[in-house]
Amino acid sequence: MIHIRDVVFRYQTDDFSLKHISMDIHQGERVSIVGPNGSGKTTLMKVMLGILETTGKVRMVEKSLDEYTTKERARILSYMPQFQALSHSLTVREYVELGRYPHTERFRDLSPRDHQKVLEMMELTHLTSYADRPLESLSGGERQRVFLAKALVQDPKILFLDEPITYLDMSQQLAMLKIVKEYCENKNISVVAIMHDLNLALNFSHKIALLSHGSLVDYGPPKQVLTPKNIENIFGTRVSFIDIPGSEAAYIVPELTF
Amino acid sequence: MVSVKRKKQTGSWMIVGLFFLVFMASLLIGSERIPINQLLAMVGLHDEPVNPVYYQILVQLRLPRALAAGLIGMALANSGVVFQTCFRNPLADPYMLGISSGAALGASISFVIPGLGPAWTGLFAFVGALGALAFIYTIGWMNGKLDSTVLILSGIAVGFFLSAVVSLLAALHQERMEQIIFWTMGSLNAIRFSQVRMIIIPVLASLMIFFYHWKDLNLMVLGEEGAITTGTNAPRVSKILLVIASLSTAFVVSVSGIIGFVGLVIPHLVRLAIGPNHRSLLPISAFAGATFLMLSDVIARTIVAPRQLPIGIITAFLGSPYFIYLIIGLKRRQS
Repeated sequence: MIHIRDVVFRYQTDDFSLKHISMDIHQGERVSIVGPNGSGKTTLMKVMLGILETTGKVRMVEKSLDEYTTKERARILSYMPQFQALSHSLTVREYVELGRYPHTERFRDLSPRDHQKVLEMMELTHLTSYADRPLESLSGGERQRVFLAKALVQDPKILFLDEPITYLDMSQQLAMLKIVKEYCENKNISVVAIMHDLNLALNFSHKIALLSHGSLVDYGPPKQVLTPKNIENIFGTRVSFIDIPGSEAAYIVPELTF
Repeated sequence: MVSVKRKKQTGSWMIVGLFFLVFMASLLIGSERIPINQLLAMVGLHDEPVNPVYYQILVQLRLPRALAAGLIGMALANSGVVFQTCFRNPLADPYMLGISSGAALGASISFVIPGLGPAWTGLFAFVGALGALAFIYTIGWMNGKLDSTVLILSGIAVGFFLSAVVSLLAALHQERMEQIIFWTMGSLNAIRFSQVRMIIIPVLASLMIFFYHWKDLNLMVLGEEGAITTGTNAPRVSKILLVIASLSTAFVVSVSGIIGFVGLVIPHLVRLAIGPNHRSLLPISAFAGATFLMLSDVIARTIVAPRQLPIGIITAFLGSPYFIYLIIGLKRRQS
């Protein structure tokens, strides 16, 4: 589904670069990108989305990323930003509707089917009663759900989430990941998410991409990548693992240094 | 939802209705008031002899003037929409890239060169506007990328510089000062059909190009990355649309002088009335801009008749209180 080979990217304005990254993501897989601040997580995601041009090969679904037009690309990839500053006020419905544009002809407005899809995704993300409220009147958690609804309305084959749960409280975090997990499993959508919470990444993902200083340090199943040794080397924190009896879940507990 | 939609539709139809009403009024009202029956008789809808004087006033003076006011209003309002959306800045207006001061300098030069008649003013103004624009875009084009902050800042700097040169010319050629001041406040006094012919194709073409991109403009509300990931090449589209909006503005400024506030206020007003969807925002703000300018022109030529005021004074008188009202309303909503 996604094949990345030898991707190198360098910003013109600073020394940071992505260094020769190669990885594969299969259909329906959930992959979390983790790493310390400044390790290149967002840059890698922007390369995958085609926002940043790079040397190396990025192949998405059927062909190389640069062979798609911007509109074609938006029909297979969608992106939920961490934060979205709007230049003009939009209602929740108006915002979510934008996600159907890649599927409409240039002069055509949304079809009844598109409107139906918008309603379904607002329902899925529990936003129906907010539909006609301006986005700026919503709380941080509600807004994150709006961003997710728009990304899902786009009907992607691969969903990209940039720190989707950063501003949410614990129950909202779990609710958000539950929606993503269930919906994407059901539709066989691959998910690539930047995650800060290693515990949630560990239990949410099929694979983890661990980045440090622009390099892919390790990539594979969560328990093989998020080892105490790797975490200590990359994050500088000693941790121990607790397996939950009777479940596949595991927890990373940092050693308290205070 | 239905009531919101109906409210927006009612707002749109009211603006379109007002447009036709004001268009009629701008043909009939002036220092010489023309009875409506005469207008109907001219188009064959009323059975009475046409007064040849009325016919002449209407066809040679008022019709081109109303058409020009309409076209200029449409161009400025839609360019305003494009500037505000592409720069993601509600205070952006079509003059912010030095077009007005470039045009003013060009026009002023044509006034002070002996032997050049009014026919040259438009051409000089157009060349001035294009020159300023080209200069500002060259500065804003950094590392193969259009940097909007650099573009806006250089627009301000170049604008101030060129305005200073205009003031210098006015000070050195005091005999031309009135002409220069009058031009920089905008006027439709000298409009004939030849000027309408000059602007009609560029203006209508620019309106069509803007409308062709209504979905791209809607997506630009998401910012560059949001727009790209939702299917529009935002940097490329906004570059194209900004250049076209600038050219369209340069064309209209060269025949009318600088008419302020249309490109700033009209997009705001229409967005409040009918919402942010460019599919209706673009055509309705074109109608609203045309209506606003035709109305301002009627006021400009009747309020101190038989003298005529520069139209820019009227648009500023009408536009700035409304803008202050908008800002106060915005502050209230925020608190």
